[in-house]
Amino acid sequence: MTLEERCIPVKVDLDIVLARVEGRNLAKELGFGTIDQARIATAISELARNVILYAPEGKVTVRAIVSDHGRRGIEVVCEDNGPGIADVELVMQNGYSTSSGLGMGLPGTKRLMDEFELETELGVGTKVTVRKWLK
Amino acid sequence: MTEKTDLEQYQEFVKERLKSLLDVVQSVSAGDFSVRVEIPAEADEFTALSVGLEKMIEDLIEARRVSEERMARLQAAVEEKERLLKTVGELSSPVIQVWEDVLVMPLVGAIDSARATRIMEDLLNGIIKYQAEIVIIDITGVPVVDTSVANHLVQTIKAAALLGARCVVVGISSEVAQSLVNLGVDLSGVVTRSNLQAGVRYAMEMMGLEVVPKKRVSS
Amino acid sequence: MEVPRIPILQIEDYLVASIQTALHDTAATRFRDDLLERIYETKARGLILDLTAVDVVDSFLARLTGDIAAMAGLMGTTVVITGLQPEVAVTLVELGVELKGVTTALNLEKGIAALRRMVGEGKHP
Repeated sequence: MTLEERCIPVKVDLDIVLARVEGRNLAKELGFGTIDQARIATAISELARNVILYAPEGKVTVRAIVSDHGRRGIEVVCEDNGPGIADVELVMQNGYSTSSGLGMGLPGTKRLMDEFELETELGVGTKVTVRKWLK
Repeated sequence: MTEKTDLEQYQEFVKERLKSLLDVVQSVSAGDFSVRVEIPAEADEFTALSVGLEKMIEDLIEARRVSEERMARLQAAVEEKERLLKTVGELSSPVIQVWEDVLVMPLVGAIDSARATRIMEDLLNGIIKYQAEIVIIDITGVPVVDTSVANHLVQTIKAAALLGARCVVVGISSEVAQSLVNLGVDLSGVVTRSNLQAGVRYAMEMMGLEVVPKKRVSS
Repeated sequence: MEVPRIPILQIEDYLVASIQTALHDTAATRFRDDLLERIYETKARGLILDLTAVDVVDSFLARLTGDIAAMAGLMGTTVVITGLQPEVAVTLVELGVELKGVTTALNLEKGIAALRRMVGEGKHP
């Protein structure tokens, strides 16, 4: 059984909007309510923006997922080939922001979604995976 | 051919009978109640044991049947309770417009995470529907407010503020007040009043309204 | 590709801008610049930013809005944000974003009423 999956390359700021529109559409198709659709779209926006800000390029993949117990949900994977995150703990703190005053929005993104995973390697890139389940 | 001695014949008879009884015991302990003890027509040393075992198996079957019946009844009761709770949930976060721009939301009963989410949606939708600027949230009927519910309430109030509506929480009992303080919940931005009447008075003040007695016409 | 600029209308002494399209960052920044320039030109006492058609407000847009309010405030203009959708309001609160120094109202009508209360009747001097 193949589940729905969409991949959006992220290179210019317009791609942030494209990624979140795709994400929101998939969320809607899967049956998420308006508030959850907004949460998912916002999370995608935050993650895709980090790619624009900190990496040459990356991509966002949104896919439908099913848990072991048969629960349905959505998974968003955002990966880039940027410099990687040196201090993950610092970045996950509320109120952290870079010199330009813009935070990476990761703590907020984590709050919006049900599951949050971060993999990063200095000099290689970063990959953030978030999931939300249908109630 | 050697004929078996009486002793050997007896040994075989015992082994056979024991084996058949053992087979039954093993089947039953594996959950298979379909096998039955064979009770030979002619009474022998094993008859009493066989009869006793058969009775035991019958009792077990009966006990299992009773247990399954109980489970089914319990299951039905649980489903009924869930149906009722759902109805109560739907009835229990109404939004009432008491005045132009002023809503009251009386909450009754325990609030869990799912209900807190529904309350938030109903409140925000109510603000939009009635174009309200003040919402009085009455929690007189809520016995317990834990950290998670308190946080949900605070977030609801913040979201309402983004829609241009101010909220005032009334009816916080002394137990709830104590537990909120003990839990260290930050309610600093939340306006509270003692009861619904005080809440309505607050709303009137905010709207710049005053209630004055009608002038009596003297004859 | 030239992205259409967001129209900024003037009603009495107030400016009203209604965001209709999904703003990507460059367009959003240019919108802010247009807005501030217009405020400077007209000396408007109030600005209404209508977000009725906006379905996602992430931390960038929230910050931009806060910046607009702060910068406009420095120029003597009061900013009111109207039309935030409930799902956007919830998301903003959960993101933990505070819209500081920004008054919000449910819709355009209430937004103008709020401006009148805060700024006084908007008549040309």
